[in-house]
Amino acid sequence: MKILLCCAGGFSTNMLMQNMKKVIQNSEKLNIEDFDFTAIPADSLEEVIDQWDIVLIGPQVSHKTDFIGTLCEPRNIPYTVIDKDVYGSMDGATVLKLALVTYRKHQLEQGEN
Amino acid sequence: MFEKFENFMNKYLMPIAHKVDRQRHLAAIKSSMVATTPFMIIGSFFAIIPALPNMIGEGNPVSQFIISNADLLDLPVTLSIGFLSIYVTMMIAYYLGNHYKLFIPGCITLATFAFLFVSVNTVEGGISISNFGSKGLFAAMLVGMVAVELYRICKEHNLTIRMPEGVPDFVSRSFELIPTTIIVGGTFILIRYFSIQLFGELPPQILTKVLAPLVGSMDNPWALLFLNFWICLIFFFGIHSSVFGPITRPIMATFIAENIAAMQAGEAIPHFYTAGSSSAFFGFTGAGITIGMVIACLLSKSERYRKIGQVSLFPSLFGINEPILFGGPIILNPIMFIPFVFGGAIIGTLPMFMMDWGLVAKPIFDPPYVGVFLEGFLTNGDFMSIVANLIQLILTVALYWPFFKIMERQELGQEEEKINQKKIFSKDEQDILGELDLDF
Repeated sequence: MKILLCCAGGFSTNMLMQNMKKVIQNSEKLNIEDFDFTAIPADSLEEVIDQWDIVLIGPQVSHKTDFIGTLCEPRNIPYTVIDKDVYGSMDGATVLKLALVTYRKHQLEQGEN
Repeated sequence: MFEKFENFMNKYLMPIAHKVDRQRHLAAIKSSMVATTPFMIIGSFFAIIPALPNMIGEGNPVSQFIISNADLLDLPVTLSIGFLSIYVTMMIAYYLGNHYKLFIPGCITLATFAFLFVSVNTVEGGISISNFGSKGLFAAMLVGMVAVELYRICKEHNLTIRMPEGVPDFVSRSFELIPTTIIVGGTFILIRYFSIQLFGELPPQILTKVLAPLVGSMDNPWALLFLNFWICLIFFFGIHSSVFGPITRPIMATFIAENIAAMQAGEAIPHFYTAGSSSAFFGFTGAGITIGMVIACLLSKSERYRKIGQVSLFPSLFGINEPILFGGPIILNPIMFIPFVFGGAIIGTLPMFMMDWGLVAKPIFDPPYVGVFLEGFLTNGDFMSIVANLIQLILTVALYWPFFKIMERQELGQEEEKINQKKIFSKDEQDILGELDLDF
């Protein structure tokens, strides 16, 4: 699964991304080779979005959610804003859960329609 | 009361931030200025080298090398900062062309062609590059945008030469651009002609004069305090300050280029506000100078706050404060409004006032991210920068401490009854999580 994180400069989502990687490394059920990550500034989303399965948005750029939606929806890529408290504690496990759940939900919706 | 205020701000601030971010021309300006960052770093680094013989004496081999190769060592400065406007024109053309999905090489060549038409001064035996640096910056942005817009209009109206089928794509592309090139080139040569006939000057000079009050007004610590107040205010409502980029970045780039030119000419350094000084002082440990809150958290009796402090400390040292902003939380937290918005603006701008009073040297270098204290020192090579950062550190702790204690008291009261944590996942999502069967 290819997870793309975006915030203003790509710095703080990069930290979060490292924490998510650690969670996968410590997990026995997930394999790090099945995952691919990147953290970028939201401004450069348009250039790279095609290669990713899910977009996670930092709360500090949540005002761009509509714009990000216009990029994701035609490509059928699910996206979601990370909760402020979870973001603040840099909680990689919860964000990874969020990514997996959002992706799964998207798959289910696709199946139904 | 706070809720009303919050609703009011969300209603009016969010849409503005959203519009600024999405506006294609402003977005192109911001991105193009970001793209020049490496040039500014390398350029300002090389600008310092000729000053070394004065600092370490002229008798040694290093100084001898610098003195005898002055022309060569000056070239990186001329070709980076001295040609800034050319690069900005190209980058604007790239980003805007990319937005419109135009043929990018065409956008870049057309825009550069157009910029050269309005900025080149002919001198005996050649052309002068005096408008290619910071003087041409605003013209570069405008010309780059207009050239790409003209290209787009030409394309929409099919002002192109159609080659017969079977002609290779890259050949037909070049022919397609011939009418466009004539239109763009013609437009800008006319602008040049009328500009000289009517005003006796080239467009970059006219633009500089028109924009001088706006740019010049940023050279005042009170104006910077006002700007910093807005940066903190919008961040308090969860919007990153990068929305100011289209206005602030060109001004910062102009200022650092002029500061470097003044240093090379041995004149007094004129400006405070550069990318380096704004990052090292406005953004000391992050906008709003939040290290005071981080330290208060680290020393807290509450386990939750200690943990937030630990997570936030290391990134703070590199000016990244999202963990404490969202984790504290500081953002949208009424108790934190005064220390973050007013305190952060005042403490962040204090070093600029110290520059104004002559206590701290003005910036001449845009260093890359190197961490707190060192970054401030590198902007001007003045040890007083470290003192200024230390004063900021002391003030921020003193300021955040009492407000934090109010929050801590509330938190400690709640901590015991805090069994049902905030629910991130809905009922359906919990089910999916169960189905996914994770082990973390």
